[in-house]
Amino acid sequence: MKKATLLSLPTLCVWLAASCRTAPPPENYLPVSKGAGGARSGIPGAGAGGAGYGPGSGTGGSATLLGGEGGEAPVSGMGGARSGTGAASSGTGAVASTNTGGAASGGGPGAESGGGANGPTGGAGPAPECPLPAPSTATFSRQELRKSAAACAAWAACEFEVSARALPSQIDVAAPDAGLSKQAFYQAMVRWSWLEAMQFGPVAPPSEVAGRDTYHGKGYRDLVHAWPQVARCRVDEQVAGKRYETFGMDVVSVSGRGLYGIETLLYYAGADTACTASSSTGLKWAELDSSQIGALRHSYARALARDVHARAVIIKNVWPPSGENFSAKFEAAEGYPSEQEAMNVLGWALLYLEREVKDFKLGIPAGYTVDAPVTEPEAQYSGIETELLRANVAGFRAIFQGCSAGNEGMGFDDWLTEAGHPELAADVVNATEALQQLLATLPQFSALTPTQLEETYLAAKLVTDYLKGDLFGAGSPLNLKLPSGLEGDTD
Amino acid sequence: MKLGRSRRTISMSFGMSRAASLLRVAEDQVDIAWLAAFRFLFGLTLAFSAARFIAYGWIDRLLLSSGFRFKYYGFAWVEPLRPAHMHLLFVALVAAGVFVAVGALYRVSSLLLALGFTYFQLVDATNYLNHYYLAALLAWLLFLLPAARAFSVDAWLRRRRGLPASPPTVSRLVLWLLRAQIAIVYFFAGLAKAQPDWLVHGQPLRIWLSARADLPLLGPLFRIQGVALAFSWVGFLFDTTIVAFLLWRKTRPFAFMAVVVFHILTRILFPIGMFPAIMVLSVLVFFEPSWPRELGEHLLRFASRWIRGAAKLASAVQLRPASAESFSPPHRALVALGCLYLAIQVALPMRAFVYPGNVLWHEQGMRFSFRVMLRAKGGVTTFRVQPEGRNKPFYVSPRQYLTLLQESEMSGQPDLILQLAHHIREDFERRGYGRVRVFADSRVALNGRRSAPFIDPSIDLSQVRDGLAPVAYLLPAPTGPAPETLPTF
Repeated sequence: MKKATLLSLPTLCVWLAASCRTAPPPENYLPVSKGAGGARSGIPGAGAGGAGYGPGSGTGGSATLLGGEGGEAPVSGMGGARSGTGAASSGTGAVASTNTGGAASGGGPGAESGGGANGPTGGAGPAPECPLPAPSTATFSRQELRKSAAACAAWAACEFEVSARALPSQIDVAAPDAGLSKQAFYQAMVRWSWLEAMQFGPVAPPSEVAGRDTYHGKGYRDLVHAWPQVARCRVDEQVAGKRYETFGMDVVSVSGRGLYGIETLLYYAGADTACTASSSTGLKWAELDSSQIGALRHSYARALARDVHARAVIIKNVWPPSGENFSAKFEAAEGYPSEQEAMNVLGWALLYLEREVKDFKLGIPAGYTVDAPVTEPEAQYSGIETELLRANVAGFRAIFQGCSAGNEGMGFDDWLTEAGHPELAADVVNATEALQQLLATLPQFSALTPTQLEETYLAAKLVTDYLKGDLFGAGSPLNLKLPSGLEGDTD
Repeated sequence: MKLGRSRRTISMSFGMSRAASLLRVAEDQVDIAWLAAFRFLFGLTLAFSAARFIAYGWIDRLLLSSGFRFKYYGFAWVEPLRPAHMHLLFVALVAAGVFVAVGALYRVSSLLLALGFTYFQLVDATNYLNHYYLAALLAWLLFLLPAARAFSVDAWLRRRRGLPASPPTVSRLVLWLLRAQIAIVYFFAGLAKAQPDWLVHGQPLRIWLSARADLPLLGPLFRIQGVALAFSWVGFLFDTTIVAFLLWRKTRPFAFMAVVVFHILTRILFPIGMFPAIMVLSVLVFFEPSWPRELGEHLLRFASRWIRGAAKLASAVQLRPASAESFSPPHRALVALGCLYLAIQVALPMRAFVYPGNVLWHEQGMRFSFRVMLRAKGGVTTFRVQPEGRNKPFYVSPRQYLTLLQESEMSGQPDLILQLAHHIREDFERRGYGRVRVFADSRVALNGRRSAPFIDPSIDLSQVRDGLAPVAYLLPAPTGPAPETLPTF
């Protein structure tokens, strides 16, 4: 017994050591057919019975979705967003994008599989300075998958920066029809929507509630496009108060800046304010005449355009060795607790399709989603919802299947195949392709029939059911966890 | 008739002789040192466990963040404390753990520890973990046992006040009660592994281990086909045999080393929190009751080379309780209570065999059964809420009511899906939608299989009552074999 006890002591010590460680929009500008500008917050015939937009009681955790004027929503949690603002000057005032076509035709990597509008550029080809990533010829490994995904996100960021470059010089709210401005906005917005399904690394929100990248997320995304955390009153606050001029853009709430702010200023033609009449903004607004409002809007729109481009440069610089070199970090899973967690984070980017696309963009107007933390539909003033959806799905597919032309390249489908589950990979790809085919012929939301909306919703649901039912979660064959918001004990 | 009567007589006399021998064992007293050591280690472990909740922010995330909480059958009345009080509770649990460890205000601190660990688990059923459950059971046992009779602040204070010291012994039955509790954990954890997914297909270890291929040293192993299946068998054999090896004196030290190595491995490979720590400290009850004295004596004698007085202390520690001391044997009712407790501990895991079908699918008999690390199970559930008079339903995502963690846990557990369906009905009716029917579109993937429909989508769950009968709203489990997930890296 004595020997036994003594023999056991070192192992016990080793063990102990180991355990311590709404208003009608103006005419829609671009491109394809669209209905006359009806109210955008209610698709005709859809949504009977309470679905729609309003202050959400959901669990999304978004702030600043109040219609009234409250305090400034802080830019808190967007750590790191300020860094590199000096880089903005590099592209400011640059010439217009070479991709001004805008029409839903043409190339782009998605073009071969889902119609022109599924391409990343809304139909235009990739910018010459942003060559499409070449398909990987390496044998599958998780590291190669991360490398491919990083290359894809870097390419999409480059494309967005090229389009955002045109914003500062072309945004002119005071122009008679703001045509060029709207064109520049459209290009930037569509390209941005491609990036939405690539929220990993510094671009992603860092908060656990967002369930994106809690390890490297710096929230760059929300500074460019914070939807659904948007509110027109937040834009009006800056228009009337001009705090951005005095204190800089860092004091501006994410709900009233970025591409949403530009869209509101470009497309919303009403002279009213969304803030309450008794609020400080409401009181200031009442003292302004329409020409003053126009000038103030123009001024803020220019500031936003410069800021969006500055952010685009920062996002572009996330990836290359000359910038944050996040491509290399991500490839090496540096800063993540394990390689698998890096794969989880990459996988969570795919879930944009589940929540934002299916539940919010489609589910609310279709009347299927009730109680979402969404007060305004995305792109309600410009009326380009359908193009944005196409770009969202194309971005999703680029990460899932591959980013090169024809969705060649390495993606989660290769991982599934390698792990012995090719049928699941095929199911997701087929469902995504079916969704893209529906979207390719879908009119703008103002002209959608309830049946079309329902079909699109159900097509998106099929994809996301595969994601949540098979690809992710405790039953995942790839051991991909859902973003639970915390690393906890199990069993 | 005669034969029957005599059989009954034999059986009765056999039962009585068993009871008598049990009482004799109860009268047999053993050194309390083992129980004091267990109290010390267990108190510190639970204090550390409660401190983790505070440090990792789990109090807010697991216990306070959701507006809806899943209840255990019969415990729907348990509500969470206010946030400030909940935080205070965990601070109190840390303190209680330390107090239990040193044996100070033992009855109060051990009661608080047992109550606290039980309470926070009852707040939300999605927080259920086998090791939290085991910790609560052991905490209640410690509260009921005289674990602070010796080697405790309370005993020291009694001596200082000149009060008669309690005998430094405890009934042998207490020792066997704890041994039986630990044996039940291992036995049922092993028994649950005796099924094809685990022993034939190596699932879910294939999935889990292939995700750990980046681990230094061990990682490359997991890239080899067949390693996961080998690990499955090792786990099965370990769980089913370790108690026997711990009971046999000759193999005990090697078995203990195996326990330590096994649980260190599981701690490295899986996020199972304090479970390995609890098991390692718990198996110490299989050693002779005086093991802490012997260990202390050796350590003090070793230290006496450098520390004056250590040798004297070593002699004091070595002193065994005098066998001639008279002790009052435990009351028969307490012996019966101990037996009843163990019978329940056996019956709870066995209930899974009463329900038809695959317990990993229907989950009836899954909780309180130590079925550890058996299922990679996840799914997606969308509720269809159909108000009367509306031509199409609302699709309600569980996330409107739940945290992501709750949603993930709920999706594979039918009783939790049912609870949320009832809540959704109440919520919609409260908000003026009138009478609604609630259906669930649910798919679940189990151990690498493709997801399959889980809940019958045609059944209005708002009309189904929860109970202990087999769930009628569940669809059959997929019958195919678990596919071989190939290692990727």
